[in-house]
Amino acid sequence: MVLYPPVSRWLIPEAACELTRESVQPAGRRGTESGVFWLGTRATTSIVRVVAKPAGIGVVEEPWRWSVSAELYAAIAAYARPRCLTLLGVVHTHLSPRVPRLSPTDRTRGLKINDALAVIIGSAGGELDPAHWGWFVYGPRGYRRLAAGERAERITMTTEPAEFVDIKAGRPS
Amino acid sequence: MSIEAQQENVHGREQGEVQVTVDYLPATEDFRREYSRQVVLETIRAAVMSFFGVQDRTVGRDTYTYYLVHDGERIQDTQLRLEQVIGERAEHAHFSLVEEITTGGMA
Repeated sequence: MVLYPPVSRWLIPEAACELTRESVQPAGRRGTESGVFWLGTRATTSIVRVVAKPAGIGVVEEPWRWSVSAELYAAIAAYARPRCLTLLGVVHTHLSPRVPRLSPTDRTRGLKINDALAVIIGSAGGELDPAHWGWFVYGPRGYRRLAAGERAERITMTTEPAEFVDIKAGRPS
Repeated sequence: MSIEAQQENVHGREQGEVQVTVDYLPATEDFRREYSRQVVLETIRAAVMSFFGVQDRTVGRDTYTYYLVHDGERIQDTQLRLEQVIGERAEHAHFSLVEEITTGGMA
């Protein structure tokens, strides 16, 4: 049994990027960070299928912080499990227009699973081109940036559809 | 299985065996194991963290803790017995293992 199959490539629908951008921009306009979870099927070639936006009680969107409560995280799991989806990556915004990089908080508090993606959209979600987002992958020595060459090799944008779901904490129905 | 063995098996379940499953969102498989309903939840939490290869950690002055969530509610007191959370009759219990995700900071 392999709990976390190693990932060589990710297939990411352009639609998922668009849905992600649309969902985080309102917070950006308010001057706060925001984020989403990318759910999909994890395998040697992993596929992002759903953009899950934590919403309501349990989400903190502040100028320099985005956090999701444990209860909300569990609600996302309750959505994902019956659909055979796993968490492939966490995407969040930074307010700065500079080239996105992981903050110390991102590095210490982010997901700690090999081949987990951490993606940062600069300019409070206003950066349109995913090539200008910050792409990081978790490995034995923590998160490291996916440089342009490796990103081009391992991440393929597709024209496949992607779903969007708002998820709120609470007892699963 | 003999009739005696079957009766013993049924009796064992009546005595308090509970099939526990735990999911962890980044993992492709669930944790599955039988426990006595008298077991304290910390025992399950420790086994689950080991299974999923994660651990509580302290970085600087911050502590990061994994929680079991049952029926939408985080279990803060892991010295509770399984029975106190799921009741006296349930034969199955499902939990999620979660950690609060916090990102951000000046970068």
